[in-house]
Amino acid sequence: MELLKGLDLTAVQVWVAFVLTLMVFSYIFGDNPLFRLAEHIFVGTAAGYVTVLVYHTIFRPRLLEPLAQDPAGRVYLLVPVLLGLLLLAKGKRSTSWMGNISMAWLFGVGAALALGGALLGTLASQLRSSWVSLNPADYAGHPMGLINALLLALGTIGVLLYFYYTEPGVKGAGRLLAGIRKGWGRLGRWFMLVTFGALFASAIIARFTLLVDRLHFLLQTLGLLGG
Amino acid sequence: MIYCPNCGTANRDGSKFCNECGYRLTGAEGVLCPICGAQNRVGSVFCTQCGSRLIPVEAPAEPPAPPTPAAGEEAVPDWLAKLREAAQREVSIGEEAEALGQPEEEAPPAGPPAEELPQAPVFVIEEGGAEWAPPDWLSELRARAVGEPEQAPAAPSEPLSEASAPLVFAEEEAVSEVPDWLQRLRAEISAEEAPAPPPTGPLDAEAAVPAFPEEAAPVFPGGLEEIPDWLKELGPPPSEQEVIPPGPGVIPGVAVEEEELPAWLREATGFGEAPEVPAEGVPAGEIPEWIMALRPGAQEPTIEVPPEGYEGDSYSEGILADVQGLLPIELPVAKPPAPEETGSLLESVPAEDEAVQIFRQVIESKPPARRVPKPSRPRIGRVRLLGALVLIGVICLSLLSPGQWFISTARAVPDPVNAAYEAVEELAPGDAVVVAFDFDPASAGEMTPLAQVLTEHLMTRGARVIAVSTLPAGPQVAQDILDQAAAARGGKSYGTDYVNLGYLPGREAGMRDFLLNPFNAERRDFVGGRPIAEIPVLQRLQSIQDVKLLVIIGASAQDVRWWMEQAAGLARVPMVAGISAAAEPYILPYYQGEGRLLQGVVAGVLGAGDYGALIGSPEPAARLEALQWALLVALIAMLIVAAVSVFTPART
Repeated sequence: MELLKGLDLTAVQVWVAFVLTLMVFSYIFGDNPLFRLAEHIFVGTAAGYVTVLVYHTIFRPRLLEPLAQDPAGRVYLLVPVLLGLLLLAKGKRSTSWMGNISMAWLFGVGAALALGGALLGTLASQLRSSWVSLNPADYAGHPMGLINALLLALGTIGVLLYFYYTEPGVKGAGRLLAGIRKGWGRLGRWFMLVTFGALFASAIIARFTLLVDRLHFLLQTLGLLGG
Repeated sequence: MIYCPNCGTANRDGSKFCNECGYRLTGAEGVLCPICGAQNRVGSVFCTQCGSRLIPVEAPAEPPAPPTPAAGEEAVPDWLAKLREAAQREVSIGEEAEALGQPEEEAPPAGPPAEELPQAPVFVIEEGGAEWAPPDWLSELRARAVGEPEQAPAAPSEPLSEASAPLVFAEEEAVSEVPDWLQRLRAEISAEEAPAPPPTGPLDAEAAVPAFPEEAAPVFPGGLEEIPDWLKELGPPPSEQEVIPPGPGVIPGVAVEEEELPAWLREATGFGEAPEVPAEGVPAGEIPEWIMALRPGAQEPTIEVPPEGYEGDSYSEGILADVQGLLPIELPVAKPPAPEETGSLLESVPAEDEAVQIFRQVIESKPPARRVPKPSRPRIGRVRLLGALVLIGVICLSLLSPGQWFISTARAVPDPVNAAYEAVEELAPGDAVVVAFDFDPASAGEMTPLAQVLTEHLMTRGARVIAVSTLPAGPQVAQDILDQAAAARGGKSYGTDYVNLGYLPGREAGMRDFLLNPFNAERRDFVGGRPIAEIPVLQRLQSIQDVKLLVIIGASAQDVRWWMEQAAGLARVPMVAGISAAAEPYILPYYQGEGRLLQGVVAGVLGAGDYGALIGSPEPAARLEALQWALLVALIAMLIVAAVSVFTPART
């Protein structure tokens, strides 16, 4: 380690990354040992890195050192340790029930946090954002705002009507309402199709961005980009 | 014509002895039954013992052919032959008795009434002198015989036959030679035939009892004159001395009711039996040979091998050695035949042999080592490979020569990006800003340019940057970006202008814990592990309210939403999101509307390019151009594929 301290491993790291990138790109020609090797190296190094990271950022500063400094005053820290040890019992069928205590704790806390955050952070805010004004006077000088508001209203109500399966009636006003619901529901269906297309396009852009980044890295490593 | 009951030889009418075997054809007083050998009166039509017809019924035109002596020998069973021998011997004894002056006429003609008979007659045997009490069944038979005098004639019209007395007298003399069943039969015959008073004297007195009371009643009491016309028409009346040969089952010309004959007689004579007709549909000649070979008689006889050490009637070894008169322990006849013996008898069709040989070869032969084809790797489609190479080539050309390909990256900056820029611009130097780097190396290619422009802008504004991450690999990525941004803006150092607090475990719980107590004394920085109190950039910071802006840089929409949801309920901290392009549709609604949580949104490389253009960073713009080219190529490729699929007829 003393020898490695004086060495600049940046170049080595870059070339290792370069080779590994090419190995991953070899998947263009189908599954092959090079791709598998790069995949296994990535998984292995990630697991090792996380283990070391968890020790240095959680176990040592938050458990071991406090217990070493004040064992009597930090006894409560053994509770999460015990819960964590119970999770290891899930590895064996006969003792897996012991891990249910820790799992119940994790799921309970996670569900409570998710529910509370969703109610305040997502549901309430989305409802308030969907409550838009359709009065043109409110959009004086901003015609796109009015169009956005109309599209928002049409799309939101249309999607809701698309999932409304109860027929109001077959005579008179009921028949008219059924026609409106069906027509507006079809419009809401198209809103959903456009939304799904946007989601897929966004995913395509994200993956292409990653490809551009890797190619940029390769060209930069080869010195072709001058930087 | 008289047929000998012993050998079946045809003898002249009136013959008393067989010309062939010397068998006595007629007794002195009657006719011998050819079936059971019983002595019947002369002129009897049916045997008094077995019911066999004694008078032959012959068709005038077709007299029955006499059986050959050899055939007659074979037809007579052993028991009948023995019975005949016994009867013949008794006849001889009877003749001897006749010579001794014991005429049969001494027998009483009829017995006393039944009520006068003693219930248990006592016989006194001369030899032993002891009293012998007949069994019950014999007493019942005797009582029944005595009680039927009305059915039988009161007195025989003719004297008793010579053989009747010897039959009875032989009881004493031949008792040792005659088997028990024959003795019982004689006793029964005597009981039935003798309506005499109960004998109180010696057993010889029983000899006076007529043995065949039926013989006392002639078949034609009125003589030949009473022979029915139909019988006369058949031919001359039979002589009283004629003996009926043993005929076959069916007597031609005589309609004898089947019920009139006892079962055993019908069985013995074959009377009434249906002619042997082969089973319907399966003629005897068509039975397969293999079935014939399976018949018990068709199998080879079992070789009788005496047990080991068995010699004649004793064993030469073992615990039974030297004990005479022993039977073999194991009967070899009980051994089943060997399979080979049975199998050798089976005959099969040559075609079946061939099929069996083929089946045996298939079973015994080892399966050939079949080469299992290795699953071939999926062939790389040429279109797929060509598309990938074209895409890579276009991107590389765009990166190598930016701004040369007639595509402009200049565009109007979207409102979310402008809003994010404005939010950062509002920061004052020294304001604390928490930046959550929630992405890892897997998405660093997209998120790094975005994070770089944001951190550079923050450092440009002089904000104190506090980095955290809810992903284990996030802190290192954050550290690299912070160092690059600090180097780009110059004069910024770790600990003084920015700090990395590292990994926050527990996802939502970790976020909430950080928002509740962001500057806990137990926290350490990521780089040196120093306590918060020793880090200058964190001085005078007590709670989340001291933070002026929360920047969430996340690749996953879920991570960004968790941050927003937890922060919305705890602190009124302005938030700006830098997200992946894939997460943009999910996060953008949090920016719009009255209840929006985000002050601005920067999405993907496009947003990074726009933001870079605002802060004067050229790096994202170059990637943006390449990305646009890549997207253009992908669009063209999809259009081509769609056109081909539309105009290509579907495969059936």
